[in-house]
Amino acid sequence: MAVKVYGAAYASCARRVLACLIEKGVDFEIIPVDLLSGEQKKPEFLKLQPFGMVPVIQDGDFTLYESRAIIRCYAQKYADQGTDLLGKTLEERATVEQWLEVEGQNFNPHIYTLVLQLLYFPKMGVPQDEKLIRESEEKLGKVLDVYEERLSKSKYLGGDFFSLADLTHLPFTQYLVNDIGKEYLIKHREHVKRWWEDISNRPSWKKVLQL
Amino acid sequence: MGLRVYGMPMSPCTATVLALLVEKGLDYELVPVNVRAGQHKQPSFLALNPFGQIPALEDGDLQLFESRAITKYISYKYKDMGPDLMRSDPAEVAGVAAWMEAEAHHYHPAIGPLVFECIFKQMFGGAPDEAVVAAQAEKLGKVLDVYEETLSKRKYLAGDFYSLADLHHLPYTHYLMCTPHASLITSRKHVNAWWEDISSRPAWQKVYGVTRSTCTTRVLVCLEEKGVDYELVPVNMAAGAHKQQPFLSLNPFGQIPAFEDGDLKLFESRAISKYVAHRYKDIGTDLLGTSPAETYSVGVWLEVEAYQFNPAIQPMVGELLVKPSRGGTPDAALVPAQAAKLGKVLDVYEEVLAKRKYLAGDVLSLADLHHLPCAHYIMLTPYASLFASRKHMLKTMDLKFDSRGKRAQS
Repeated sequence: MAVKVYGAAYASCARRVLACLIEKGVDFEIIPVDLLSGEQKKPEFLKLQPFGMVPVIQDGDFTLYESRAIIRCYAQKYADQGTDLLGKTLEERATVEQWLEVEGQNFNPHIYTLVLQLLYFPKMGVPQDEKLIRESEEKLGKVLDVYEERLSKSKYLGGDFFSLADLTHLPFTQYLVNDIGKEYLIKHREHVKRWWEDISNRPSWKKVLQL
Repeated sequence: MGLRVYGMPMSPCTATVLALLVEKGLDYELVPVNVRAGQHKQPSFLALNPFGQIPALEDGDLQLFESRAITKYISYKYKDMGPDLMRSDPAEVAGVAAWMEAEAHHYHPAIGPLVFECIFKQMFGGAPDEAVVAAQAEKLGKVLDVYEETLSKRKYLAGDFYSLADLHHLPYTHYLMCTPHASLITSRKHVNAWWEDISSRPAWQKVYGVTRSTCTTRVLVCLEEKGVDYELVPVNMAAGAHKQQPFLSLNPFGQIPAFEDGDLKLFESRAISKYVAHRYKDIGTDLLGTSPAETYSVGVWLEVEAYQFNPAIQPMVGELLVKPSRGGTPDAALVPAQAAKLGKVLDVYEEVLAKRKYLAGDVLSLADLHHLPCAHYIMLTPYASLFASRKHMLKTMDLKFDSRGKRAQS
C-alpha cells in the first residue's frame, strides 16, 4: 500500500520527504492540501497534524509529521532497501545526525528567511526587509564557509556517502541557486559547488522536481 | 556533611537558603517538596515545619525552619567556610542584624505581596489584583527611598561589606526585576548599583542565573538519565574560547556543547543526546521507544521540540534571563510575542498530554527530556504561567522536574 503524503509537491518540506521516499524506493501517493486557502488550518486537517502544517504522511493507520522526522523514519524503516541514507555504524549515524541538526539549526533559519523575503513576499505583495536580507545572506555565508571546510575533507556532509544530511539541504538550496539570484553563495565555494552539483543531479531529485 | 534543604528552587525563601549554601561552598542535598500537590501540608513535612511552609533544613539531627533562622544557623555553624556573612565585630554583627530586621519588617511586607500578585498568583491560575499591585508598589517605593539614602553612603546595607542582610534581598528582588515594577529599582541610582552588584555574584548566578547553556543542559539531562559517567569540560565563553582553536576543531560553528566519546567527536546537542541514547540503549532508562512505532513517535516529538517549541521559547530565555544577567533589559515587544507563539504550541501539547502520559506515548522519552532546559528557566519567570495554567502539562512537568532537572542543573 502506498504511503500517503499530504502536502504540495512544490513545497520545500514535502520535497524533502519525497526525495527520501524515492531514494528508498517506497511507493507514495501525493494528496494535495490547498495551502493557499488555508486547508491545513481547518479542523479536519488538524486531526492529522495538530500544528496545522504540511507535510504529513499516513502509512496504513500510522501517521507521522515533521519532515525531518519522516525522513529519519523511512531511512530507518527501509534501511535494507534503496540507498543507505543513515550510515552503517553508530558513529556514522551520529555524524549524519549531527549534520542533519546543522541543517535545521544553523542553515535553515537563514536560507528560509532569504527564500521568504526574496521569493514569497514579492508574490504575496509583502514589502521586503533589506536589512534582514543582508544579514541573512551574511550569516548564511558564514555557515557555508564551515561547509566549505568540511566538504574539502569529506565527499558528503555525513561522511563519504550520500545521506539524509545532504538530502535535507536539497529543497531550499534549489531555490537559492535557481530562483532568488543568490547562487553565488554556492557557486563561489569550490567544494560546496562540487557537492551541490553532485546531490542536485541525483535522479531522485530530478524526479521530485518533475512531480 | 548531611545538609538537606527541603523546598523548591523557584520559591524565594528556599532560594535564599540555597544562595547562602552556594556562597559558602557547602555541599547539600535539595529534597523537592511538591507544593502544587500539597506535599508541604502532609504529616511527613509538617514534622519538619509545623507551619507547613518551605524551606526546612536538616543538618544531622538538627531540624530547622524559617529561612532567616536557617541562614543565621548556617552562617554561625559554618563561619569558617567561605565568606563570613554574619561578621565578627560586635558593631558589624549588630548592623547586619538590624538590616535583616529591616528586610523582614519593611522590605518583605512591601515586595512580597507585589511579587505574589505579579508572578506567583498566575502560576496557580489567578490574575493580578491591580489595586493591590499599585498599593504595594507605592509602599515599596517608600522603603526603597530609605535604601537609596543608605546606599548613597556605603556600598552595602550594613557597611562596605556584603552580608546576610544583602543576600536576603536577592530572590524577591530577582522576581521584581521580571515585572514592569523593576523600575522601582532601576530608577534609584544607588539601589540599582547595589542590585547589579549583589545579583552578579557567582553564587547567586548559580541559583537563579543561566550558568549553563540550555543546549549543554540538554545533553547532560540525557547522560544523567542514563546514568552514564561523563566529564564536563568548561568552555570560557566570556573569554571567547568557543570561537577559537582548539574548540573550533570540536565544533567548527563555534557553539557549545561539543562532545567526545573515544575517537568520536560530535556537536549539536540533539545529535549528541541521540547518540548517547542509542549507544547506551541498554543502560538506565531507554529513551528511544520500545517498538518501531514508538520510536517513530519519539522522532516526531523530537522534531516538534526542535522546530515548534524551541524557536518560541529559546528567545524568551535569552531575553528574560541571559540578557539581565549581563546587565541588559528584556525586549518588551519580543517577549510577549514569543509568549503568544509558545502558548499556541503548548495548547497542542496540552491536548496531547490529556490523552497520554508523555509526549510520544506512555513512557518517558528523549523527546520529553529535550524540553527540560528551556522550560526550567521559563519556570523562573512570570511566564511560568504558560505551563502552570495548563494542567496536563503541569502534571507531566512535575514528574520530570523533581529529580531529573535538578540533577542536570546542579
